[in-house]
Amino acid sequence: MWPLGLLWARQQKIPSPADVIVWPESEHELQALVVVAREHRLPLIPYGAGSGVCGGTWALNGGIIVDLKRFDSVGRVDASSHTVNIGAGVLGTVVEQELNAQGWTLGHFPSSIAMSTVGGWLATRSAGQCSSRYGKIEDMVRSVRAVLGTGEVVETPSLPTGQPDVTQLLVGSEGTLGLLTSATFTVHRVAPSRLFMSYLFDSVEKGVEAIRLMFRHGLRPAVVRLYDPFDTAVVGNHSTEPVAKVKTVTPPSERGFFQKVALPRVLKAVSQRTLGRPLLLNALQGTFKKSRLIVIFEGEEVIASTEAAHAHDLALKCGATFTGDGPARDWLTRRYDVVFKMHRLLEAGNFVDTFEVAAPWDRVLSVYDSVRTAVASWAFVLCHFSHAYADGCSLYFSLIGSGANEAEVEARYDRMWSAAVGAAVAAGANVSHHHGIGLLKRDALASGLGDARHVLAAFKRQCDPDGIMNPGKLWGTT
Amino acid sequence: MIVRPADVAALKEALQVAASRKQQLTVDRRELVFVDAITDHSMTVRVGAGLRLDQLEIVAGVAGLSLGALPPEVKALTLAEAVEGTWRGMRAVVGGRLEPMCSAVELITGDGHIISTHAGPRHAAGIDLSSLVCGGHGHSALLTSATVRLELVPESEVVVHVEVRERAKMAQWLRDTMSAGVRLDWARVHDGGLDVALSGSYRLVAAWMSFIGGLKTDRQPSTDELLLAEAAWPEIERRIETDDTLELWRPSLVSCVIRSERPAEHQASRSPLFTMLKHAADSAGVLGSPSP
Repeated sequence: MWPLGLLWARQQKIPSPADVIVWPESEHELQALVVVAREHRLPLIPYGAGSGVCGGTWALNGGIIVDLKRFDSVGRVDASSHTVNIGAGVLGTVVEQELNAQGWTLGHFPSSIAMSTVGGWLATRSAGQCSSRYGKIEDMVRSVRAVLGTGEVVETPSLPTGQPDVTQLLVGSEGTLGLLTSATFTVHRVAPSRLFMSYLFDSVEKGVEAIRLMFRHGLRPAVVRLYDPFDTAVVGNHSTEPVAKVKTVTPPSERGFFQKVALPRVLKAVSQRTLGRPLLLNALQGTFKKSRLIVIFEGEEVIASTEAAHAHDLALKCGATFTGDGPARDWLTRRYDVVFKMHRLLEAGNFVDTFEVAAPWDRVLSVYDSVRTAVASWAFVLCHFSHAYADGCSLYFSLIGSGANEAEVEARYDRMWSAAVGAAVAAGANVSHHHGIGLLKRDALASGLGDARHVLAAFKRQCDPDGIMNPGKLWGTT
Repeated sequence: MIVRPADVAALKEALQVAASRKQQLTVDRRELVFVDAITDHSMTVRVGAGLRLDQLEIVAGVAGLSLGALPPEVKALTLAEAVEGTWRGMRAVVGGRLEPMCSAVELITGDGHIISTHAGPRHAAGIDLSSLVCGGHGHSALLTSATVRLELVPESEVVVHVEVRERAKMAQWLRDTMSAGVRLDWARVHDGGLDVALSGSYRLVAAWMSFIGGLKTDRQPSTDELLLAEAAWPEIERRIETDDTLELWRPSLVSCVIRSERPAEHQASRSPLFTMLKHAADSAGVLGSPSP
């Protein structure tokens, strides 16, 4: 799902694919695979479900794709310790189904939940839509098991005493140290109640302030999402009445002439005249004023309702207009839909991508302004604020652009990325909040590492002496 | 060799000298005690590793902020001791989760590399290098400064007595309560039940009290000399069954900081990753090795 990869696919210029795809089902088989890979200096590229958007599972110079979906066990929840062990290859939807059947939840709901795995979540430090209450995946994991590039099987201690928390050395390593096989997580009882609220603000600044105050006062909504005026107009302007709709996407092979040929041509022409001139589109931002905030609390009713009342007062104090529970309920109904909408824009010859960073509260608005200004010439930009914490939050930019031809589209895409990352970092954000690094942000990460590069390189040599583990990704060289 | 560097540059030089002489180094960080201005908006402050937490609490209090409930033994630690020690510098938040008390760290490895992590709420930018110091007892790297997370000084603090007559059920009660969204400052286990402390806004504390039930009491935590340790739930369950005096501070679903008459029993096993990390960060062994 790496957007640049999709642009390459559209131009039929995919770089050299992997030589082999394997589906091991045990750590013993993985160890044997490592022996072969070390002997022949073959890259091992871990693969979950392929939803990553940063190119982390692309084979740059051939090698072996290690599909881990056969590590598919979901253990029984240990009710006394609130833990469960899950295989690295289990899909997100399966995790929740299995846990819900036992009365529990992991609390991890990424947009990609239907097409991402536990191993992928851990490898990229994933965040779910309820992260403000349940945390990111690195907050949920207690220990991991992995087969390192040495062939050694390691299991990190769930309570590290007298040693660093080595679990957090494998989490976020994106397969560059070893292959994750399973992990133990903290789980929670399924929340007995859920409360929905929505608001409109006259400005982004007031909405951001409302979220900040909620977290400053110790409130922990499961979901908090503030859409900027453009995003409110395009995406966040949910119905005030929840609508249950089932949409189906017709596969290309089953489409008629209109859908297959005529519609894409029309859309392409329209795109080039609109998204191809993003400065004009972005200038319209001033005509939209309202920012939509949706908030969802869940948990025991007495606690959730108290938190909701407190949050409501803080929102009103920041000048909000309460717009009922409909938009928040509507969002919950459609929360995974966006993943299935990107293809239309791509089919029309555009690029579409997302860029997520995090910043402390005192930098959030400057990051918002800087990134929008930096990319305005290259892409139509929308933003929402979510994944909030007491000390800051994530900014999630949606970036859509076009060009006269494929070469121009790709050139604009590259310039947009360079401008976006540079502006975000200069304004005080990090390079990623929950998508990871992969190939896309590798140079941006590497340029900010400083002395850490030496330590990471030395640690990598310890875990992967032959450099076979997902080479070229994260911060490493090919 | 013992050194007391005035700043990070001096510490780096000392590490290089120790490495060239193949000597182990003991570092006294009492000079690294600066405190930057508090960033009120983000409720964070950058401080030197040698600053004691009770001193930081005073500084934070002036701005209406606090480190939150901490046992007296932890408040007496320096930031470096708190982050590098068994406590690992973690704090429990709502929902029984643990999160690092530092949103960013600056550290120096045994090999003299200075590393600063990005100050921000969370990241997905690869390996978390704060792992080099958190819980590492200074054997791979040393904390030199950190951006510390603060919280509002609570509007309300109460201690509630809860009747949980069977000791065997106390652990489950505590876990279920945290899982429901209640943040417990501390809990004291005794035969008559549990005394638990809650703090936060008036409304939150009222809601938590309503959920917990029980009655207000004025009983405070023990001021006796008790041993401090971090323990996981299997051991906490055993302690609840056996210890006469037991306090659980800022409990989480993962572990608790316990105060008890007996030391905690920890597994002696070490992850091979620890050894690899040690080689990567302190190849000359300047910072010594942990006792087995």
